[in-house]
This record gives sequence, C-alpha cells and structure tokens, in this order.
Amino acid sequence: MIDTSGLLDGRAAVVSGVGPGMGRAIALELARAGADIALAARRDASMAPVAEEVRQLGRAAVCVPTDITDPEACARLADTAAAELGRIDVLVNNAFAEEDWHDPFDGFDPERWRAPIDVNVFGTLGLTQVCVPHLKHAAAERGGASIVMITTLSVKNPIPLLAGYAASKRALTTAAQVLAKELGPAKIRVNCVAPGHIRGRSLDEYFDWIAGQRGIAADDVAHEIAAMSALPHLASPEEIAPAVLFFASNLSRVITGQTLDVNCGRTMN
Amino acid sequence: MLLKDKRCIVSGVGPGLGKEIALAFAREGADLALGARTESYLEDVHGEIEAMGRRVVHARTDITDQAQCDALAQACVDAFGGIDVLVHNAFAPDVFQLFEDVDLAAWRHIMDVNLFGSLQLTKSVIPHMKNQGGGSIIFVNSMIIRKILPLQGGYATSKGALMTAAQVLAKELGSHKIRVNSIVPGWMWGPSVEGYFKMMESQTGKSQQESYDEIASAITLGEIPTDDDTANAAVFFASDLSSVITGQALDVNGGEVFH
Repeated sequence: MIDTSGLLDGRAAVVSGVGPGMGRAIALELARAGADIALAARRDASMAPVAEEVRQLGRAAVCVPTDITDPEACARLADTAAAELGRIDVLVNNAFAEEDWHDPFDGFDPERWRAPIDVNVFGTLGLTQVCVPHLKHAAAERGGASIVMITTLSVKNPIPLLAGYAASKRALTTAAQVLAKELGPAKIRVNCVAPGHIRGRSLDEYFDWIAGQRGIAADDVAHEIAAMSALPHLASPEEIAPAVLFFASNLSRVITGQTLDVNCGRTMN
Repeated sequence: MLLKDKRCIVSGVGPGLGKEIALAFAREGADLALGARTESYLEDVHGEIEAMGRRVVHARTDITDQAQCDALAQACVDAFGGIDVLVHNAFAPDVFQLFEDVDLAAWRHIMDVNLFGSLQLTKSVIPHMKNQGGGSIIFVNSMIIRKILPLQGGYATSKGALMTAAQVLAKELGSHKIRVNSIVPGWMWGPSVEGYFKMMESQTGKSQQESYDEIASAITLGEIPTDDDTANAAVFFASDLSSVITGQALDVNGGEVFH
C-alpha cells in the first residue's frame, strides 16, 4: 500500500454517510494520512465498526448520529467534531439519498425527487454551512481548508431511472462552484469527486436486477459495464478514496472549483 | 512517499515547471530520466536530484526527433530497468500574432512540438509500459484551452489537439493498464512569469506588484499558484493514488476557471 502518512498530520475531518462502503473507505484513507475523524451517519451501528478501525490506525474517532436534513443534528455534528477533535480542516460530503430506481419516469410522481433533492442538495449544504466557521478558523491557522463533495457519473452520463438523483448531484456540483468562489478568499477549497460504478452491495443488487430483467447472469452484466470504461474494471471504494485524500490535502493547495471523474475512464472530463 | 522507486521520465526540464515536477517526484521517492534540449538545464536539475539521494539520468532531447525520443526512453530503461511514468512538459510557446496575419508555418511548428513531439515521445515509452503491465502518462496542458485569448491561437490549437489525443490514448491503452491524464495549469508563479512582470515594469512602468495583484484578483484563491504547487497535481496522477483515474483533465489554476 502506498505510504500517505503525514499528508494530513494534525488535521481533523468530518465524513458524512459512513457505512460499509464509500464512507468507510474515505474515513480510513484520511485516517491513514494522519487525520482524526468525525463520523456521521443516521445509524450508530453503521459507524461504530469504522470508528474502531480509525482508532486502530492510531487516530481519534468520534461518532455523531446525524440525519443531514435535520439542521439541529448538523449543528450538533459540527460542534461535537470541533469540541472533541479540536478543529475541522476537512469536510467530506458523502451522505446521499437516491429515489427508488425501479420505476420509469412514466407516471412520474414528483415526490420521488424529494428525497434526493432534500438530502443531496439541502442536507449537504446545511451541513456545509455549519462547518464553514470551523473550516475558516482552520484555514486562517494553517493556510487552507477543504470541502469535498462526492457526486456521480450520472451528472454527465445519465442512467435511466435515476433522474432525481442525477439532477440533485448536478445541482450540488453547481453549488460547489459557487461555494468555491465565495469561500476562496478565506482559502477554503471546494471540489467534487465524481465516482462511476462503485463495487459493493448496492452495485451487486443493481446488477442482479438488470440480470433479472434481461435474463442473463449478473457476472455478464458486470463484465459488460466494466468493458465500457477505458480501464476495463469496476472500482472499489478503496480505489476511489485516494482522490478524496488528494483534495483534502495540501497536494491540491491551488485547486478549487473542479470536478475529478474517478471512474476508470468511463467518461472523460 | 507517494512515488517510491517509480521510474519517471520528464520532458522539457528547464528552470520552471519541468524542474519542479522532477524535484517533486524525487522528493516522493522516484528515480528520474530528464529530457530537454538545453544541456545546462539538465545538468543543474540532475545535480539537485542526485543531492536528494535519488537515481537520475538525462539525455538531450528534441522531441520533434523520434530517434532522440527513443534514446530518452532507452536511457530510462537502461538505468532503472523500466518506465513507470512519463510527464510531457516540453512545449513550444506561441508567436503571438493574430490568425489573419500569422504565417501558418509558425503554427505548424508549434503543432510539431506540442502535439506530434509529445506523441512521438509517447510512442517511445508504450512498448516498455505494455511489457511491464502498466504505467502512467501525464500531459501538461494549459488554461488557454478553457479561456481563449487572442494572439495565442497556435498554442491554444495545439493544446486542444493534445487534450483530445490524451483521451484517445487513454481509451486505446486502458486495457494495458496504462493511464493517461492531463493537468491544466493556469497562471504559474515561476521564472517565466517573474520575467514577464519585470519586462512589463521596465517597458511600461507598471510595478511587479501591480501586475501580480491584477492577475491574482481574477483568481478565486487570491494568489498565483506556484510551479511547485502545480507539480503536485502531476505527483497525484503519477502515483497509485489515481489508479482508477484515466482520460481526465485536472485544472490547477487557483480557481480561475472551473471545470
């Protein structure tokens, strides 16, 4: 494994949406680089094992059960992170919601879009807003702080049945650029990491569903989709998380307002 | 260290970004094969890298000459046993004439260096990277393709072509685990911009600070990125931190243009 120790020494990061997949990989990637981590998710059960892994890496971890659509919960998360870890240098907005993707747009019920918009746009922005004072403080002290939005391939390469999710992440991408402009003078950088398909349980379910619809094997679906990328491969959360580390660290000190597609070359930005 | 024992070629090693990329790579544990037309630049950077305790070779290289490109690749292989990373930093600047006035021979020369020269050097490394089962190729592009300005048509056109070529290579070489990405710098605080500000001062009386402030005011982060900051984006694409990233362009411009 590549030695990233030192890249985030003395830093503290808030990571939202920590479960067994992308959130866990991001938290561990940042911890390996030296950061203490405040973990947020709706359910304590999904965070506790990850917090333990962070501690095994020798870093501090604090779990704060958080529904990011609840402003009070967001405020509690920011306050707890700052109090327990002493600071917030990095915020990774990984929590998301997607609509039930089994139904087509025909017979569209606008309510289906509410969850992705509420969580991915307003929830993310709400959490970001309460973290900004702490990020400003850290930036003033250390010369920089970083916000990373986890977006999606669907922003540019729409997948049928996920209109609300894709639209919400596009809105978030634009909001990220506005925040980059507004927070740049305070040396807070704002960038987006846009993964493609991410290996894990949700992707397996998606492949199973497609396989069922088409009457083929799930493995064949996986191969077919991997073959659409320049690197014929489906990325794991652990392979994607280092891009978040890059934007969290000083290696990207002069980069803001950008989106990096981390998708094996499925789309080229 | 992010590039421990990676064997890296950097073209266009002069006093600016090429040198900073080579030094950043050495800091991260890489061994370097340096190419440039000017021997004295090569010797200077060679000495600095040696002093950092890394292995280094250099070869005078005009990238418009395929034989010299092959020789640079071979020098890396002979010294270190393979090639893991190639950074294309060599370029020809514009002649700063309007399109309607320019002799297109000048644009052809720019294209010969920036596009075909880079592609020739790429051809020199591909067999080695394929043989060893992978590698990373990085093109240094330019903000000129995002923010078109008059008088730099030849340079902009060549870099636009280079961006498309990089994506074609990413697609064609992906199955060999060769990744191809571009960094897109904007203004870069280094010897050439410093020289430009000094020239402005002596010609127009505009102080260097005024020039700096004028440019920095258009940059979101309020400062002109330095060439060593910019080099860190190349470190990222050279390293295994970007193992699932190919065909991408990362703008390194302090937030002057969002992409």
